[in-house]
Amino acid sequence: MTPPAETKAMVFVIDDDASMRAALSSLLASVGLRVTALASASEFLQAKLPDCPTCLVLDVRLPGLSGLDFQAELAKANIDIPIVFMTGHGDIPMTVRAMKAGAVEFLPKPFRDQDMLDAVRIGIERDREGRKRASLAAKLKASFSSLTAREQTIMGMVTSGLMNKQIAGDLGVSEITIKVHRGSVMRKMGAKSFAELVRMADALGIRRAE
Amino acid sequence: MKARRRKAVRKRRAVAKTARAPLASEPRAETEVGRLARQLTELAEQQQATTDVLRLISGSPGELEQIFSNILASAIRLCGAHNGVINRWDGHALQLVAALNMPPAFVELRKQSRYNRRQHSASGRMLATRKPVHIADLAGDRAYLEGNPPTVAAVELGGVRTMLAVPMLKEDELIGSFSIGRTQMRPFSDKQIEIAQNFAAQAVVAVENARLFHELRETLQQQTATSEVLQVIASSPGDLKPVFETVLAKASQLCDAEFGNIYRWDGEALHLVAWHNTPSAFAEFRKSGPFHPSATSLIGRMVKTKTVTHVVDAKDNRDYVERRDPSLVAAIELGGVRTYLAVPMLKEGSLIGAITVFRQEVRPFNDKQIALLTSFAHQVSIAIENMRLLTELRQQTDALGRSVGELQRERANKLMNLEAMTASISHEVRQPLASIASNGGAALRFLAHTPPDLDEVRAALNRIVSDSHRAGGIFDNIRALFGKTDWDRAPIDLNELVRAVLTDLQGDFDDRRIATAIELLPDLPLVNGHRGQLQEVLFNLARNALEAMEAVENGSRTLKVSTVRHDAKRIVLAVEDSGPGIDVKQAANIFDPFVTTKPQGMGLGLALCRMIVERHAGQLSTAPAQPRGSIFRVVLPVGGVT
Repeated sequence: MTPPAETKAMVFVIDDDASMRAALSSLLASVGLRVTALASASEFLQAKLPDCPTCLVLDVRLPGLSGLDFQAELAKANIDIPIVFMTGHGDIPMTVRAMKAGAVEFLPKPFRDQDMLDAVRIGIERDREGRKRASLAAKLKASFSSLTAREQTIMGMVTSGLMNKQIAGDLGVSEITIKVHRGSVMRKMGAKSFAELVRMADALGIRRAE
Repeated sequence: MKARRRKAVRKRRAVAKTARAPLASEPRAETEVGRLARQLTELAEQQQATTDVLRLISGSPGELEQIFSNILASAIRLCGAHNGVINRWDGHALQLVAALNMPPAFVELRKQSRYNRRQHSASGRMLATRKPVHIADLAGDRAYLEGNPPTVAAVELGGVRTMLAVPMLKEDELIGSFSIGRTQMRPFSDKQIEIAQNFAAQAVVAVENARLFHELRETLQQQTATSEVLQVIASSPGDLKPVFETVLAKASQLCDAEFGNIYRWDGEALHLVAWHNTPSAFAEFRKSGPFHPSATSLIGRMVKTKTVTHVVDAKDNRDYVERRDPSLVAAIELGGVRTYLAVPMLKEGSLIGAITVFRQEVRPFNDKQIALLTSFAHQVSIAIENMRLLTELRQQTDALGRSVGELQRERANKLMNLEAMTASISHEVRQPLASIASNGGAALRFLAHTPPDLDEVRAALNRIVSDSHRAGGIFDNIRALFGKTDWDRAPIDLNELVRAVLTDLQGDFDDRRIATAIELLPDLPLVNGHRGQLQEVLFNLARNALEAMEAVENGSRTLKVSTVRHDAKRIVLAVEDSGPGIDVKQAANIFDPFVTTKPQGMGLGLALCRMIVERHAGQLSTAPAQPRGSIFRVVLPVGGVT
């Protein structure tokens, strides 16, 4: 009942009702999720965010800052954490607004425990994917920055579809030299095929569109 | 003019004998047939003349002068006379109304002098006997010899020698005289006297016809005027001005008056409300202030007796002569008033105003005119009363409309309050229900662990128990607020309530670095109310203020609570925060359900606060505070609802 994939995930529950916080913490813990329960949005902003898949469970009405405003604040600060909303009012315009702003789910209180767990799982999964994409991009960036300036230039040119000969002509070096650089680019970037290198160049945004 | 004239003048005393004279003087040669033929022609002529006169009478009944001239002309022609005169008798004297072939000097003289009854004059005898008087020689008559002016004028200016005066009788009443004369002394024949009498009778018919005609026309005019006034009354129910104006215009016209005024009586003074053709200096004087007639003045007597006052010559009045009544002096000197008529306007026997018409010459109003003005006064009274009833009706309708509107608003408020209460209660109950459901889910899952995590299960079950009690507690609280004890009112010291609630919240204020300023009016009157409910209101307002101020990063966070007097019967409890204030767009419906800020404490929102305040016959309102923030004011009646 405790899938290892989620053991490292962390759920933040923000509700000003202590009893609600306790109940949710318990429910989420029962499926092996780590939970941090907070009474207000400002407490969350002061907390240190862990480096693991994360999901937020928010009441739309919070003291000080409302749940929806908090959602907007996070987006503004470029903090992309999936949010599951709860509300005591079945307020449709509010639901629509939250969903449009990217909420995972909008659950009216009292919700079914399974609905909450499903929503949280989706949120965590979404964050995990996001984190994976982010870490791949970071790795790629690191590899790219390990290339010499000449290698970076040549990577951009070859992935744009230029022939070795053309590149040699453009740079005023021999075709052999280009071939050597190209081999070292493939190795340093860890590309198993030229097609993979092109994808990397795409992700890095260095392909010249000609 | 076929009658032959005789040059010879024979003096004959006996009227009877002279009657045959013209016939006797006809030439003997005339045959019986010729005589009959002539008589027939005369008869035909006579009939023709009569027919002409009657046609004229029926054709233009109003034009008496022309009819008289025509009758005189026919009589002169058929009776062989030279001139003729018609006089009207007014009960005291004869007055010349028509003359034919008389010199202007005679007409002038006769029109200027009144013809008084004198036994020995021809007319005097006629008036006395009511029979025709035939004088063969007027110059030899005693009246002439004694110098009776009309007789002398007739003889010397009119050249009359033989005269015939026929009384004009309407039934047995004398209405005038019909006279014809000859410039030679030649008596009229019996036949001619008969013809003259016939024409006199026609003149009577013409006079009577004209009288009826004028009467009819007058009645018609009055009826038309009355109907016009009634029409104006009917067509301008909300406005008396056109009614007054029409009445005055018609009254002035039909009473033959120069101008007229309408006044309203307020119990002490008359106020000029309408005027027609009134000289501006006089109107201005009347408008310049209320008109307080003294008890002894003419108008004062009208006010007192509520009867028609008819003053033939205002200048004769002692109030004017001794300058005792300034209003009368003003009427005469500013308005040129001489004769005037004032008619009171009454409503159920009490004076409500007066209508007056004025003449700038001494000429009394006749009975008909007085009756007419009285009738106009009645119409104006009716119009005023109509207006009063209409205004009353409108006011009542408006009041009714207002109270219906109030009822509707009240009902809408109640519904809204109910909606707000339902929403708040449901929100409150959903909270523990969500906890219970989550705890239940957690407990089931911890049970399914291998081994089951019983500590967690127990903890979750305990929370379920406590949340269930919490849900129950919500209903207890609601019942405590709005249940049977709702109407258990007690005198409450709001100042004490403020201190108690703020003390309760002191911890929250300290946590949020909120300063409190409390300004309580000493000796604040008590309000009669439900302590729990009012406490809830204050608690909510304070919590809202507190939450609003959490958004303030830089700047003061101050909660100000004050009590002041609103007026003699009401006091105000004000809660002011220094938060960001309420969005103008939201301010209008801040008290509506779902627009409440995050509910706290009992969780009843502003809508319910308002409901509670209104149940205490008070008002809850909000306004922006300076320099920022909001003020919520609770206005409550001193002593409260009972």
